[in-house]
Amino acid sequence: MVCRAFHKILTLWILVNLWIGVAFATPYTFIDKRGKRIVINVPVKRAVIVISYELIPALNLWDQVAGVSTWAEEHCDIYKAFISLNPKLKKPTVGVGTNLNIEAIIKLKPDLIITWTYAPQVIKYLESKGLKVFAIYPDSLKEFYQVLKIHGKLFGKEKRVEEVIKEMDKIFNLIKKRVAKIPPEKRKKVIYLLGKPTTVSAGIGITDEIINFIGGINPPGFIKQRYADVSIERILLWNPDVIFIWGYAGYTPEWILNNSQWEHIKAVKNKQVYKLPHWSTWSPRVALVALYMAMKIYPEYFKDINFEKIADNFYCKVFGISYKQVKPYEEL
Amino acid sequence: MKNFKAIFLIFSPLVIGWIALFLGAYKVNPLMVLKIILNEVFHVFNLRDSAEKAIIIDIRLPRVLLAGIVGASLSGSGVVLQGIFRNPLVDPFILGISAGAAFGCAITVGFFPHWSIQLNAFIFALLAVALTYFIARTQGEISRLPLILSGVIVSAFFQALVSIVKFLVDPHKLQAIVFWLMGSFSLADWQTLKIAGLGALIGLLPVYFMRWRLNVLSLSEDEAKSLGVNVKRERLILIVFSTLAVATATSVCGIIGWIGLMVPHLVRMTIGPDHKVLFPLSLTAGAAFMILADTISRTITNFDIPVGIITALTGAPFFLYLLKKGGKEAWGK
Amino acid sequence: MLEIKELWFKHKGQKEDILKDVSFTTEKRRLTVILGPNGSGKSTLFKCITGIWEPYKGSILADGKEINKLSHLERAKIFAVVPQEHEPAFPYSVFDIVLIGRAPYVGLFSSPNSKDYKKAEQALKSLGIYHLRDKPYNKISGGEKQLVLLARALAQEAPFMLLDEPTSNLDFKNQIKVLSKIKNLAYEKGLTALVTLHDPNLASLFADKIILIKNGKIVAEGEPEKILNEKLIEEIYGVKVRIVQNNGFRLIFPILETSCINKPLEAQK
Repeated sequence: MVCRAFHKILTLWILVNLWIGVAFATPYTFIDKRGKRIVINVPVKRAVIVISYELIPALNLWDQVAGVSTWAEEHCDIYKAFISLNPKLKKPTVGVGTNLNIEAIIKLKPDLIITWTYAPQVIKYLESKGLKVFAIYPDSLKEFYQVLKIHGKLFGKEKRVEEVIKEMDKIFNLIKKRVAKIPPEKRKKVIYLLGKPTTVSAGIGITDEIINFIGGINPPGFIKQRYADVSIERILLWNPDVIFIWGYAGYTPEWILNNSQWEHIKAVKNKQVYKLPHWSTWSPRVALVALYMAMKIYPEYFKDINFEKIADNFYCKVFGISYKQVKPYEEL
Repeated sequence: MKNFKAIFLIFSPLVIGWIALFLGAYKVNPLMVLKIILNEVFHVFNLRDSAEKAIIIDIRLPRVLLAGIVGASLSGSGVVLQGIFRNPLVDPFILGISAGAAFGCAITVGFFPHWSIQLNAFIFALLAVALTYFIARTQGEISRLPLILSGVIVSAFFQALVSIVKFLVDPHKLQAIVFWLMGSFSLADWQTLKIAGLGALIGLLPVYFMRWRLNVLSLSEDEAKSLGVNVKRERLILIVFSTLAVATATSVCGIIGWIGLMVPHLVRMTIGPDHKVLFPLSLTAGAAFMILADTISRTITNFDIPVGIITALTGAPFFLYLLKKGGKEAWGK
Repeated sequence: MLEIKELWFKHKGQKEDILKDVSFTTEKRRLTVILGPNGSGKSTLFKCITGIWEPYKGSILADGKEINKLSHLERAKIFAVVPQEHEPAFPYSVFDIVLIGRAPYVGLFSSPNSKDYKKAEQALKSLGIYHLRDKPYNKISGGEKQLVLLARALAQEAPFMLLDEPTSNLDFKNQIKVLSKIKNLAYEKGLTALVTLHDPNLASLFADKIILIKNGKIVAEGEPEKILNEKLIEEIYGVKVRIVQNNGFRLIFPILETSCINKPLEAQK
């Protein structure tokens, strides 16, 4: 009698375990930026993250990541701060977005590689070796949120993603409220310059969306491309009130301010030319980037806001590290 | 008739350049344009510093002049190469000059942003030509085919190096390199103009004085020697100096194709192959053509189209038409 | 006067000598012909004299000056070379091409001056082709082309004119025309003309002196009447010939092997 009961319990126990095992290893299907359908068992245990590495501290993915891009280790201030505080977190590197070290990746036996769509031939090659690749290139905040949510599902961190989104929304809502007060005729023209001073962010992409969101006008916005190379004349024609320079560009605001060709642009006359910090717009920090830009454009509407305080709060809540701790690793 | 054609070719860059000053995204009243230019030269009016003045004097004028200088440099070099290699279908690319210059620029923009782009472009363009020369010279003397072949090899080599740079460099800096490689005058200013002008002057002036010599050098090597010409030395002088002009041009505005190939050929079909006339008229025709292409590239749409695309799109069909019309003569046989 | 003294030549790395102890002289105002079959070394000899190849032994003296020691430029003022063929890469006009003959007198960084232009014009007129001056070179006849090259050599104002097989690509009429012109020019302008030919009849008609060459060796040197005999020609060319004299002119014609080709048709039956 006891034997039979024991058998029953044993069988039940085995069944329950199996069920849990199956439930926990459900296949998840999603579509990436290329339109490719990817089916993978979640949670992912060994990922190689080439592009969304800031989500590693944000979603606490340290145990689920097998390798990162060299870029994270060399240029990402948050990542560097974490590694220096806790060297045990260091991960093998696999090269940069366009020059991935295929051998290194294969050696790590990853379940998934998360990279950007810049080099389709690299992705194709990886897939031909039987690896799964999740290619991203968010062109809007909505898309970025989707990417965040997919990350959540992939790593079993849905709840954490919701928390991150909540913090981001807090800042976005703050901005939204403040700029709603700005009358349409007082909206300022904002231009975002990229690798060359004559390359501007145009109508497609997160930058354009942010400029509009923070109450600015993006004059080249009618050009339906991600960026456009224009003549200086055209920039003069648009006469922006504020000019932002991409953080990794090879020139400084001084170059523009001292250049006689740019002299007559309003932004130059009012010395409102700023270089953005080295923060990617494909990270939760995009909210801070938006705030930074909003505060530079409409300082009078954000007079009472202490940027450092908000940044610090954001860092702690989202990344689990303070702004002060990260600042020494910021690249100038 | 021939004189008329020559006069047309000589004055074409001036005419087109002048018109180009009136065209652009920022609409400036033509009368105002005149006033500004006269003021700059004669100081007649008392014009304040204004956006219009900056547009005409600081933006359009250097851009038009730069396009002219680059066009002249590229087609002048084309004339030299076509004459030396006795082949009307040879251009600065074949010798690997452009690829070498491109590599010099790419590596500077990508890894050594504090160094001079122009200097590196020049150094690597010369290196490419030297390599081409020495590879071909292992045969004993430099004759037409080995030199072209080695030029193609060297060009391919440097282009591969550029690809490596693109691969290794930060994907965001890549944008600047890639667009620059496509060739553009959007960042033309008085500073770059001075550099290009100096390079063109030093490079093309000696060639100008040697222009009749190109007639002699375009004979077979034995024939030229029997006419007292030190073929190796004179070819070297011509190549080095024309390379200087091309490298400087490339360093300032990237790779622009077709001009070095097409303009000398077109001018030759118009006024004949005598280099005494062909060289100077190719300079002016090249300048005119480039100014025209650049003006189109910056006024036709809301953003700058890479000028290399314009030269290819306009040049290629016209070139084909003239080839067909000219028949066998066009090929010089 | 051109003196060739004990010239020896072979290509680098080869064992066989192509030219063996070649010696002869040519006189001013005279047309000298180097005559020999294909492969006799005529072209090699020509290239050694004009400086394209260098003999490893021997000397070439033009009016007493050692030619081999001169630079290409100095040599160009003494030797005017007319190539067998001239394929210009571009459609130069006849005048352009003749003007190129002035190259030794135009500096590296200069263009021809009015004197050079005059000389080119004169050269064209001397050869009676001034009316062709604006025509593209590639559009004129073979004979006219050769005359243009002669004019170029004239414009070069060199005391020695060297021509390599100038009649190879010409038709019957033009062969006569060109060789006549060369002979006249030599006499009128006081030049020394040296021509390579393979046709013994042409040599016999026009040469003041013939240099017979076979297998890189000079076999005979002298006036046509004196050295052209049936035995020598058969030795050089390997062809049996008969020489017929008529009114001071000499004609060399080959004796064909008796075969059915020669017999009249009836006799073949």
